[in-house]
Amino acid sequence: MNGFTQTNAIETKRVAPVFTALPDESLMEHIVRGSEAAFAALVDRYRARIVNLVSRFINDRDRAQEISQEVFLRIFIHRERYQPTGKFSTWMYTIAVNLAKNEIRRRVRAKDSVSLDKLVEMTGDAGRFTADPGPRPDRGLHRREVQEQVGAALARLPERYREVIILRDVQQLSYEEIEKVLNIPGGTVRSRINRARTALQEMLSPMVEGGIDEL
Amino acid sequence: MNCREAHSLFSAKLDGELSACGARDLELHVLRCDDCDARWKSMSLTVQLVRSIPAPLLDPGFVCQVMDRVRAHEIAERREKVLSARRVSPLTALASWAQSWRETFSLRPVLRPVPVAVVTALTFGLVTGYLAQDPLSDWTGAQARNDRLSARSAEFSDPGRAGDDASARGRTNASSPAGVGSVDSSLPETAGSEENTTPFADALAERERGFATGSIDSLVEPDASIEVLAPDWWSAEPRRSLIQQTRVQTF
Repeated sequence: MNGFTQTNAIETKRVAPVFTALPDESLMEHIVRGSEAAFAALVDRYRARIVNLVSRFINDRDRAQEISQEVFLRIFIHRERYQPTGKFSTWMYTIAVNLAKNEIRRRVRAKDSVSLDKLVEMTGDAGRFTADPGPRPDRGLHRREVQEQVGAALARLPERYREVIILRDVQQLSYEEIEKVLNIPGGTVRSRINRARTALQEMLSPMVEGGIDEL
Repeated sequence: MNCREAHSLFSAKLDGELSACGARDLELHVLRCDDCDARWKSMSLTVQLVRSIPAPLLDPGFVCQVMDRVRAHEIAERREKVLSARRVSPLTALASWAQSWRETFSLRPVLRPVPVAVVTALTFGLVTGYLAQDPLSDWTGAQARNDRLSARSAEFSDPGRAGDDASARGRTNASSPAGVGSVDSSLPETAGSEENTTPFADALAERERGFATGSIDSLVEPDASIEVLAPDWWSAEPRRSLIQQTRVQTF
């Protein structure tokens, strides 16, 4: 049992079992009535996905934890605004994406830690992305290193491409859900996903062409 | 299908968004084109790489931290509500009172001047009525009260004098057949010829009957000084001023 699984097990024990089987909409009804136990169950259910989403957006694990907590706090504060007719996860992802975008913009405005990657990101030109000029990886590249390179490539994507690729490939949302979360047309979603994958393919081509056995 | 069209469909094919017909066409093209086959495999592996990224480790107390933040927010929100209620309490009360008053007495725009006119008329009437009031309008009542008070005080202070006055009055009547009982020459004659001949004892008897009737000259002893008092209308102090003094002429 690794650390992640242990953490999940410890946290899950604190959640009332009554609420673990309830769907999101029923949980929200309890939360609107002021049930903290229901809210704890909701946080436990979505914390991994939200932290993953935010950390992929901002590429900063510690800050992603704080922003994820802020996401759940916003959900609790604005719980009465939730419309049961819509899907809860869509509403939650909208809040998370907006907070993550705000964090990126805040960092860009601060300009105290603007790196070359962020400057490229600010230009928003996917055509400028080139393959990593570093040494060609060996076939036996370590899995962790591969994941780090994929994470770095994701972080170098322009915001409009990164958000669709994270929602589609990391969060496994459908195209219709991405439309609602980002409030953009379906055709735009499809074209952005295609362009984002093409850009990622170019960035990761040395690693991909070299072959990866451990995946 | 050419290579460009095939490239644009790779992403949809990976997500299962292509129709069966479109997917079959794409597969046929990839089988025939080596370049598209290589690109297809590269993109498939790229997407597989992105999807294989594991979720980051979570803090052990993530749920507890969120719940602590929620409770802290609730406490702060409650405190802010109390403070804001204390800050604007008088203003809020005044505003709500004014609002309720407006709602209660709301009139159509045409009728809004009516209550203003009514209140103005009432105020004007009260002020002008007070200013036009005659200070001597209560003259008769004040005069009668003063007369009774003077007569009573004289009776209780010197009860024996009444008999002397009666005998003296009898002597006076004898010496003066006219028996004039008028009050001063300036005062009008209030008694007839028979009343002029009535001795002062009649007046006393009348007084004993309880001041039921009788004029000023029948109730007041001779040579008594009459002070007619009236309220001082224009003074803030509740004092009375002497507005007339007269003297009863002896028989």
